[in-house]
Amino acid sequence: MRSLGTLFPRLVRDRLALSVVATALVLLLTSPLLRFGESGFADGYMAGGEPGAASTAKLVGLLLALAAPWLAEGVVSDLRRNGSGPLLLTRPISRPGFYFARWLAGCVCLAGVAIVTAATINIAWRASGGSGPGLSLAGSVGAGFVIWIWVGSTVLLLSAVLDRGEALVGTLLVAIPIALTASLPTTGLLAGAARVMPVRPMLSAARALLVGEVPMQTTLLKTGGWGLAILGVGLLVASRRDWRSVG
Amino acid sequence: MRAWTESLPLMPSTGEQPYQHVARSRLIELSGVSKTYHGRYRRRIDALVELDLRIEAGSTVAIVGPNGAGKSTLFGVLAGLIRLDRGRALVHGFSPAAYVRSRGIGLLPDRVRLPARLTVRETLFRLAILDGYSGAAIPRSVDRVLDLLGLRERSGDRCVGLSHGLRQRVGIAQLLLRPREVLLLDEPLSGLDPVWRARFRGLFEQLHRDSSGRTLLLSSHELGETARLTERVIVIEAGRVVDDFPTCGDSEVLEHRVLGVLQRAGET
Repeated sequence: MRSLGTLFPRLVRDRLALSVVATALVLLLTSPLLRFGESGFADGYMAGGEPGAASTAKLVGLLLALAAPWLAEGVVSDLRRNGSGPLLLTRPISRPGFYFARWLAGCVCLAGVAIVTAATINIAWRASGGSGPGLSLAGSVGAGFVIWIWVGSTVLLLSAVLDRGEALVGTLLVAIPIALTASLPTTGLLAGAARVMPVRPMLSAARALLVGEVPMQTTLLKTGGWGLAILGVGLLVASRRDWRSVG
Repeated sequence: MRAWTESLPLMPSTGEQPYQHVARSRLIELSGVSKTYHGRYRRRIDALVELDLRIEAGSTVAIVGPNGAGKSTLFGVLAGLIRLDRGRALVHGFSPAAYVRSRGIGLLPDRVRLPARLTVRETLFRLAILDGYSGAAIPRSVDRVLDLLGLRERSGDRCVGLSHGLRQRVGIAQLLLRPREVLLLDEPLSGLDPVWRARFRGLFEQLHRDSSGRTLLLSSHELGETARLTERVIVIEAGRVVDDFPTCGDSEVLEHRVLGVLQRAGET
C-alpha cells in the first residue's frame, strides 16, 4: 500500500499535464465560436445569475462528461495496450489497490480539468464585460468528482471486460448515451436506459455544482450508488482477468 | 512446427529417465494444466494440454520448443497473469497469483513492452517503487541497474523510440531491481548483440550464485546458450511436455536430442 501511495503522484502527473493541455486546446479552438453578452445557450458561455447560466453549466458539465471517458480509458486498457502490465503486475502489489490508485489519479485529473475549464470561462466572460459570480471553482471540483465516479467507473469496467484495442469502443459506449441524454428529451428507449444508467442525475448534479448549488440528495445517491457499484465490479474484473499479451 | 523438423535426422531415444532431483524442495507443481485460447471466429488454440511439471527450488531449467508450443503461456500461468481452464498450478504451495501477491515473481516477457511516453529512468523508477523501495533507495537501485545494463546514457530516452535490443536490456534491468526467488526469462537473448549476450551469461550465473534457493526458468531457441546456462531441459511441443532431461553441457548433444524429440513429436 505504501508503494501505491508513493506511486500515486506520478500517476496523477502522467495524465494531468496531457489532460490540461487537451482542455486548453479545446477551449482555444471553441472560443472563436463564442459570443458573449447575449442571452441563451447558443450564444456562448454565460454564467452566474445572468440569462443562460444553467445552459452554460450544462454545456461545461457535458464537455467534462465527454472528456472523462477519454481520461478513464487509460485506467486499465493502457496497461494492456502498451503491454506493460506484466512488468507491473508480477510485483507484490494488490491488483485492486493498483487499479483503484489509477482510478483515483484519473479523478484528480478530471477535477484539474474542471477547474481549468471553469476558470478559463470565467476569465473570458469577465474580459468581455460580464459581471457576477461566474462558475464556482469549488463546485467544478465537485462536478469533476461526480462525473468521474459515474463515467470513470463505467469505463473502467468496460476496459476490464473488453480486450485490447476494443476499449475505445467501450469509451464510445459511454460517451454516446451521455451526449444523447444531455441533448434529447428522455422518452421511450432513452428514458428506460437513463433509468437503468442514471446519466441524467449525474449531469444534473454536475450542473448544480458548477453554478455553486448543492445538488439534490437523490441525484447524488443515484449517481454515487451507480458509480461505486460499477467501480467495485470493475476492480474485481480487472484484477482477475487474463493478460493475453504474455501468451 | 513440422516444416522445420521434417528435414532433420530422426534421433534414437536415449532411454534416459525423466530428470529427477530429490535433494531439493519442490517449488513449482503443475498437474493436468490446460489452457485454450479462442481466436477469431471462435478458433480454438490449445496452448497447454494436460501439462504436468515439477520443478525444484534452486534449479536452473530451460523450457525449449518450437514457436507456439506454449512456453510463453506456461510463463504467464506461473506469473499469475493467465488463468487456467483446468488443472492445478502451485508455486511454493500457493496459487501463482497468491504467490505473486505475497512475494512477487521476476518476469522477462518474450516481448518487452514499456510505457511509450515514459523515459527509461522513469519506467524503472516506478517499477522500483512497486518493488518496495522508498526514499533515496529508489534512485540508488535504479542507477545500479542502469549501470549494470549499460543504459545510463539512454536513461532519458523515451521508451517508444528504443530498439529491440535496448528494450530487452530494460527488461533485464527491471528483473535486477530486486531479484525474486523465482525468475522467468522468456527468450532473454532475443535482440541482444554478442557483447550483451556474453554479459547476460555473467548476470544469469551471478543470479544463480547469489541465492541458493533462487529458481531460474529460461525459454530459448538458442540451444548452445541453454546447454551452458541450465542444468535441466524440458521440451514442450503443442502444449505438452515431450521430454525432460538433465543438460549435459554439450550443446551439440543437446541440439540433436531436442531436435530428435521435436521431430518425433511432430510426426505423431
